[in-house]
Amino acid sequence: MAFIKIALEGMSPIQIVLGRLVVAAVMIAVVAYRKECLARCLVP
Amino acid sequence: MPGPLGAPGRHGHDDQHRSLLPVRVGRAAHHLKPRRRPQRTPLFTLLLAVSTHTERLTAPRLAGLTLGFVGVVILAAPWHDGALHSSLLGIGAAVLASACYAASYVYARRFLSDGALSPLVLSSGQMIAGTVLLRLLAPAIARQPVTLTANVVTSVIVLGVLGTGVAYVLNYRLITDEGATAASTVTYLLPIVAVLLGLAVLAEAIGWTSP
Repeated sequence: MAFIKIALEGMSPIQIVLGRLVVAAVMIAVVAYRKECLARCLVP
Repeated sequence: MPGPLGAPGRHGHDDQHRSLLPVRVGRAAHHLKPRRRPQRTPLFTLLLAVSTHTERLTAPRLAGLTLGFVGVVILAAPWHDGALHSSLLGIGAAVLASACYAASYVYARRFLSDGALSPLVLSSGQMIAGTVLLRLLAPAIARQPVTLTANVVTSVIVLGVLGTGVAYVLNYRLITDEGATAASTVTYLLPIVAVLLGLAVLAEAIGWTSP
């Protein structure tokens, strides 16, 4: 929530939601495309 | 989906994830005094999971959840500001958001955690759906001016990668491996992490009653 507080200095709550959704979707897409594991690797 | 997304402040509601819900939580937060946002999601999740026969109610589970809830209420200390100072609208929105979170945990456990779909696929589907829905609504409800400083951009990237992307994959893994109620207790950890991050990132002061 510390990062939310910083983000709120320049964006509205809904804009932050949209922004992080897009970032997360891109990250997950890259991970999936490269066929890398995530959950199993982070927590064996 | 995104976690504490739109919820301002570090007093963490039942944040952690759910695409559009954070917006509602963020709005609810404006109607609630900061200290009056105890985590209700685990209790709602337990009640819903038991009532739908998704999980069994055991004495240790009930005792643990109750203990956690009592701890959060003590930290929130609603009696300090007067119990009725928050608006009914804010309280209602917060309770509704908690119930929706709980429903998502139980739904995921009951219908999506049979191993047919990996946490990565489930997370991707949820985020794509949330992004599309929010993108459709954005022109009408997100017209405020944006100030993109380096700190703001960095924060959104950190929130997206860690708070939404990685968190959701782990969240589905938790639901699959441990169950809906156990996964929902992650919300009890939010105030602790928020306080520590507030100290490290924002140099906020920590008191005995933090958060």
